[in-house]
Amino acid sequence: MAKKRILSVDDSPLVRNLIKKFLSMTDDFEVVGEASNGEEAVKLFSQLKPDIVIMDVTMPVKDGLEAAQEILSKEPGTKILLASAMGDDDLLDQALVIGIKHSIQKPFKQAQLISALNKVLEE
Amino acid sequence: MDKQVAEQIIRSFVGATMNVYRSLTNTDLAPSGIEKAPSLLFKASGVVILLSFSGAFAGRTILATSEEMMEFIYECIMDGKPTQDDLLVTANEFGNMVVGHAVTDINNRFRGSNVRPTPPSSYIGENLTFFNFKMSAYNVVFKSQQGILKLNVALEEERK
Repeated sequence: MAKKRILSVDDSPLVRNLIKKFLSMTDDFEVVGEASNGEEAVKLFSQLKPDIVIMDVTMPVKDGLEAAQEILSKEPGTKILLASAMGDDDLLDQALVIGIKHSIQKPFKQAQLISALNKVLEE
Repeated sequence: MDKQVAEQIIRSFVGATMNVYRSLTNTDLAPSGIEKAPSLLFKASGVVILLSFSGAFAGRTILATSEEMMEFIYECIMDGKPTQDDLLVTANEFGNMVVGHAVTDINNRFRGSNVRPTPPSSYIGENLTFFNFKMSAYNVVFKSQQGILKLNVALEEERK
């Protein structure tokens, strides 16, 4: 089975490296692109057409919710996993309104990330 | 700000610091009690992370620790020895996670407060001094096998 292609979006190089490290240890996922803000994410999404976007929320230039909304308006049904240090009910409600059903709170372990990505795929 | 609300906000930061540290390093921090800061000045050396938050409750958080402890956190997450830039990036993300968790707890306890953090700034240096103007500040000192982590949370006295 082909690896699922991931676009990783986070303003922290540490988190992007961690996600890449976690996913490189699996046979099921690979990071095909990285963006450090929402604007880059929207552009890269159009170019790469990844299977899943892992999206941070608080980022410079354009935040993750805005970027996700733009991506979903162009490509409804895009699979997005929200990955933020925040996870309050108001934020998750906002995400749900946009169409993001899955989230994971940072910091996370490799098994938690894989489990969250599998849930997104089962959607 | 109501005293009980202020105490809860500080407790949210203390819990967040302990949870994030444990999650990243698989080791524990032992906190001292919460103490009202004796002066408007907060002094620290080593790695210092500065974050603000705004919304129904606003203020500023400082996390201060040694380069050795930040190196330990980095090595628990990534492979190899960190450069000084790596330490600053790690400090930024550690601060971001602590405030993110604290804000999550605050927002879930006080629905509609819509507290949001600002991006962090991190510094490495000696004898750094911060001035908490028009804010009530509280200190907590955490001890671990790797050293000491200081938390200073300053809350705006009155939102106009």
